[in-house]
This record gives sequence, structure tokens and C-alpha cells, in this order.
Amino acid sequence: MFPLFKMESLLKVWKVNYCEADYNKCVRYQKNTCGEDIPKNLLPNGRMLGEPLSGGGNNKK
Amino acid sequence: MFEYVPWWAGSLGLAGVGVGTVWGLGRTLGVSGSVARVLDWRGDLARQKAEAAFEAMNSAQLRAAMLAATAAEFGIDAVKPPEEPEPIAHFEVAKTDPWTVHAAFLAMLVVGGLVGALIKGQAGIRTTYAASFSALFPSPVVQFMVLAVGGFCVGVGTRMAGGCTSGLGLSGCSRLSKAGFIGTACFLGLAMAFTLLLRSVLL
Repeated sequence: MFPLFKMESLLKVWKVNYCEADYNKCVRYQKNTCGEDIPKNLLPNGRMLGEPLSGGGNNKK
Repeated sequence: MFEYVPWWAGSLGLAGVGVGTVWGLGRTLGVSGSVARVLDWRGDLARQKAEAAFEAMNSAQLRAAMLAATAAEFGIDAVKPPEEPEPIAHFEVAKTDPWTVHAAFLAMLVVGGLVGALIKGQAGIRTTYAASFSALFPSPVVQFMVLAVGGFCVGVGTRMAGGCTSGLGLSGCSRLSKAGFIGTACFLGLAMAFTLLLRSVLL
């Protein structure tokens, strides 16, 4: 995920809100600390990039 | 008494397997991790399916999906068009093997052990425990319970520690991993201490 978008300004929004703010709520971090495999398209909020956005989530609009 | 191969041959074999796994599969050796992957084969299939759809996307689709996901999470104001067009570079990410590769690895552990035993003429089903174990736990029921609880603890402990003797000891230490050294020192040190304790009880 991060290597894919390291040249994207969009990534900065995610880094500020997850990596640099409260990384404990990052699903990728949670999976990593549990020793689980992390899908390449798993977003920090638990959603899979490329899948429909309808349904639950951590929307903060 | 079993006749073991020379220590250096065993060391070379273990080193060869460890290095061969990294070179051949691009990942480190880990038996407990492979067991976990096989047991989670449904999750593995779901992950492969999700990643397959993701990897089939082109650069424009990736950008659109990332824009939509970011807007949905942080609001439309968070998605500002960059001042200059940004290229999306597709880098190689960590390789993950399907669960079938791990199943084959585990199956060949059994096959390899069986072939080795057949070559040495030691293949067979043993129905007795080691003398020290039987002396410590004479009751068959207790013996079964001890092994069941021990196996459970090993399973839980290896997942909590992130590896077993192969993952922490072989792969971790050979990569100079701090976690590998700490984990190996803990389980090896405790195993030695417990063995000495049992010997003092038995003898």
C-alpha cells in the first residue's frame, strides 16, 4: 500500500491521521502486531481499496 | 539408541533450508507461520481474491479508488488536486505465498522425515514414550493431558511470540533480528532450565 502511493499527496492525509496521530487504530498496524498477513490493498480504516465503499466504516465527514 | 548424523551435517542442512527458503520463495522459514496460513486457508483465498481485483486495476483506476476512499474517510475537503500531476509509481511489494505453498512445505516435512527414517531402517509407529517422561507421568491419562496442554501452549505461544524454533531461532537469528535473539534465548534458556530441574527431580 505505502510503496504504491508513496508519490501520492493523498497518502499524506492517511499518514497524518493514522501513522502520526493514533496508529493504534490503524488496522494494518493491528494486523501486523498480531502477526497476520496484510493485504496490499487494505486501508488503515479496514476497508479494501478497490472495493465498493457502501457499508460500515470509520467515516469522519 | 538412535544414531544421529554428524552435527555439522545437520547444521549445513538447516542452513541450506533457511537460505533456500529466502532465495527460492523470497520469505523467511517459519513452521508455525506455515501452520497458521494453512489453517487460515479461507482467509487466504479471500485475500488473494481481493488482491487480484486490486492488481488488475490500472493507474487511473487506482487513483480514482484512492480519491474515493480518502474522500469517504476524511471528507471531500481532504481531497485536493495536487498542484502538479503526480505519477503513480508501481513498486514491487512484499510477496505472499498462497496457503497451498505452505501446505506443500508442511507435507514435505513429514515426507522428508519418513524417507530419512526409512533409509536408516527406523520407520515405524512408536506407542511408548521416553523413559523419563513415563517415569514422571506414569498414568496414560495424565500423559495424554500433559501432551495436549503442552501442544496447546506451544501453539498459542508461537503465535504470540511471532515464531517458533524455525522462525525465531533459524530465520530470526540468522538475520540478526533482536526479536529472534530474545525469543531464542528465552525458549532455549527455559528449556535448559526445565530439563535440569526435571533431571534433579528424577535422579
